[in-house]
Amino acid sequence: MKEFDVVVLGAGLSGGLPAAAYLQKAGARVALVEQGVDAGRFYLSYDLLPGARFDHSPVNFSGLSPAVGDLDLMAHGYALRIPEVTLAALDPGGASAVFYRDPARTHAQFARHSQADADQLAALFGRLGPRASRLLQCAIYTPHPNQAAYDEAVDLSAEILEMPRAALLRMTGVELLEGLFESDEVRRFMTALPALNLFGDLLEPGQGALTWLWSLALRAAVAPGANQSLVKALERVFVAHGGTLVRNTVVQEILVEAGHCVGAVVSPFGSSKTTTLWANAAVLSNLGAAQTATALGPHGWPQLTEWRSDNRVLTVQDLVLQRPLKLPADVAEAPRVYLVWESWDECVEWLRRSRTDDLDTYFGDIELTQFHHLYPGRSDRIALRVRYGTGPFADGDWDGRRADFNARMRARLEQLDPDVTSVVEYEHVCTPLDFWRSNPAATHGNPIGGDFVGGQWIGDRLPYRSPVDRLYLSNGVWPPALSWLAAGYNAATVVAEDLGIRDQPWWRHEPASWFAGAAPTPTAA
Amino acid sequence: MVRGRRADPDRRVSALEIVGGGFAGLVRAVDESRRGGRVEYVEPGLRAGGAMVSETFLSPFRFNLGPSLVARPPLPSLHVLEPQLLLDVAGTTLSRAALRSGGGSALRAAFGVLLGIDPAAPDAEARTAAACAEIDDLVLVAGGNGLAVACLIDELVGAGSTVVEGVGSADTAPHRGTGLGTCRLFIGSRGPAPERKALATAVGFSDDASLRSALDALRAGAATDPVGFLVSNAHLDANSVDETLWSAVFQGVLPFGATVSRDDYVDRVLSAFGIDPAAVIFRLLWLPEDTGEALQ
Repeated sequence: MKEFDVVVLGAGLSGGLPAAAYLQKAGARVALVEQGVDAGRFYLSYDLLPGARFDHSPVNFSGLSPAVGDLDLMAHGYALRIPEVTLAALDPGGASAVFYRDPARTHAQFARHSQADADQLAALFGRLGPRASRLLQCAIYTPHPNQAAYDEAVDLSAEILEMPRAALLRMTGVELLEGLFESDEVRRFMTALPALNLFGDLLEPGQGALTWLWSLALRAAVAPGANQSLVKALERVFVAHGGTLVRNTVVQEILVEAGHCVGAVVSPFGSSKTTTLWANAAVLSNLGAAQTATALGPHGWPQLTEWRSDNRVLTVQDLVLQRPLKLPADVAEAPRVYLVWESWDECVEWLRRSRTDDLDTYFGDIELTQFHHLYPGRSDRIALRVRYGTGPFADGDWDGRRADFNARMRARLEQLDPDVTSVVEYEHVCTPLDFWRSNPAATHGNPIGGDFVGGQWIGDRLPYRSPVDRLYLSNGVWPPALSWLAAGYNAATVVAEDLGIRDQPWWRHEPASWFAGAAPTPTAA
Repeated sequence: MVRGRRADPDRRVSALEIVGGGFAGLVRAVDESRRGGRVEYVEPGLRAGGAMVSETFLSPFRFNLGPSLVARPPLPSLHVLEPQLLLDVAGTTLSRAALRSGGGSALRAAFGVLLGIDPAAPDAEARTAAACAEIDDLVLVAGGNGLAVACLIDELVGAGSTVVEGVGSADTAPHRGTGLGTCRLFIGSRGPAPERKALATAVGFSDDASLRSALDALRAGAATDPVGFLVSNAHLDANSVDETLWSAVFQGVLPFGATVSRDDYVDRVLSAFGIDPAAVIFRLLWLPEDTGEALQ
């Protein structure tokens, strides 16, 4: 069959895959086209060597998503669970803090640096907890732009931070942190995750303070591991409800006739033989701005064709070690460890430089993922991921600087563990160019769909409903493409509304409802 | 492992529970489903399908973790490739047609090694002859072996069965084989690819006699020089971002437990095929202890 109600282009974890699952379950006939063999490739696991298991993307915020309940993912094999230790932060001088599932233990960690800051953090979580679901609904699980939802998200954020709305909208992330916390260490520890620019620019007034607070909600909800089972569960839901997963297939053209998007021309990977998939009602592109623009040809529009995705990207180092990396005892227990700056001043300077083409910023915000805590394997094969940056894509000459970066990365690890070189069984560096080569939708190696430093805040992202009739987008939209499945949820919402199939008895779960039901978390402190 | 039928409270029909079993286990599940039965397929490993796994690792390349040439998968709709020129040994080639006709090729032992047959095994000749007789069913899966597995799973799930993968531990003990085994070096590179006339280009021997001699030296622990084939991965290559990328898999022979420096072995393989190490983006060596594939 080559005729469907909806054709979804690109089965990425955040956008295309959940959108297709929602729409198929809601009764649409959906074809989901994926270039790779597997959907959700950036979220699969792999055994680099037998006994050393890695995740492509070692974060998991899916517990926040209504999809866990709506799509009954646990019944399809999703194995999400909350670990006792979620993450830790460590500075060059050895100061550290660990986040536990138990709020009291987290409080004790921060109290080592400042009792007042520990109390402040607990109070913040205390105010965030009861508002988290609604805040997430307004800020994340709403198809933006939506002024009313944005206003409510700002109001809720102001309540959580106990400050006037007007002040919040004038504030940078740095100013907010300096106002909240007295301890130099705590400010740095609480900057590591938002420094990724997952939402926006921490130095931008208004945007920066909101970015920090919303990142705090993510930090409270992280439950690493089980990534591949999420992808597979979404695939199973889609196929079990009758969806057509067109694997190993490349999109050549998005068809627009008489102003309406009517389908897509596709071909098997590595082949020039083409097929047309007709869409009676909608085409949803999860291909990213650049590829969507190419596939649309003359039907693109300026915001799409001029979209930027080259500023904040990552380099990654996979290591298989013969023993775990040597870290302080409590930090060593954490699946994720952020290596933070030496001082708050250095942190702020790093944020400032991160708006530039300075390649040194890759070595200022580093994240370790100790996979042996998530997927216990062989004791002599420890899977360690090191994420460097964010940093700039710069001139794109990543093959030319691969060796230099590799040496700097090893030197950085030797600062933590002087003998680490002697226990490296395998090492591989993946550059921003490699990320882009791996997934053409991740333009310039940017897997979350756009820039924030370049001014792509909530109202400036690409629209879910595009200017081309019956063409919808789920990449480059707000919010960015993360494992909370929000872009796909929102895209499915707008398509379902336009098709008149949104009102489903199962499509009613609240954001964070899985976390609320699963166990006490720091948000319940 | 087939565990028998158990009640399915939702559907009020019994389901056949199958645990693992590699690709054969998956095919067994599909056969049951096609007969109208419901299956609960549980895969302890990361992916269903045994050796029929395609993997990208953290790289822009696709590789088959197991052999490239596989028995035709039981999905008529799956696009497969049938390379006509299979082997290039020091400039002498072995074609599919030659194997099909059973003509006395001097390279049959090498073809056997490509399929995992030890020429020193007592029944090696018979097994190689059997493989040659079934040459029309030995194919490459366009897109990768994992595509066959994924499509079979889609069929199962679409028919109402359940499939859950990765339920077991990542703790995989090293394979403790004896004798010779298969190693695989996954190579992803940019720039000019080595010129290859056939699917598999040999290194470390020039004919049947030198192959047997090289394998004997490996077996005796007297050498660890690369002996094997650089297998084209062209059917899995196509990169719209960087058209200069190419990949290959070196399928070699080493003794289980051989003391080799991985870096040194990789360098020697690259050198043997004239591959510029500086152009290589991705390199990963699985020793026989990792592949678990004994030459038999």
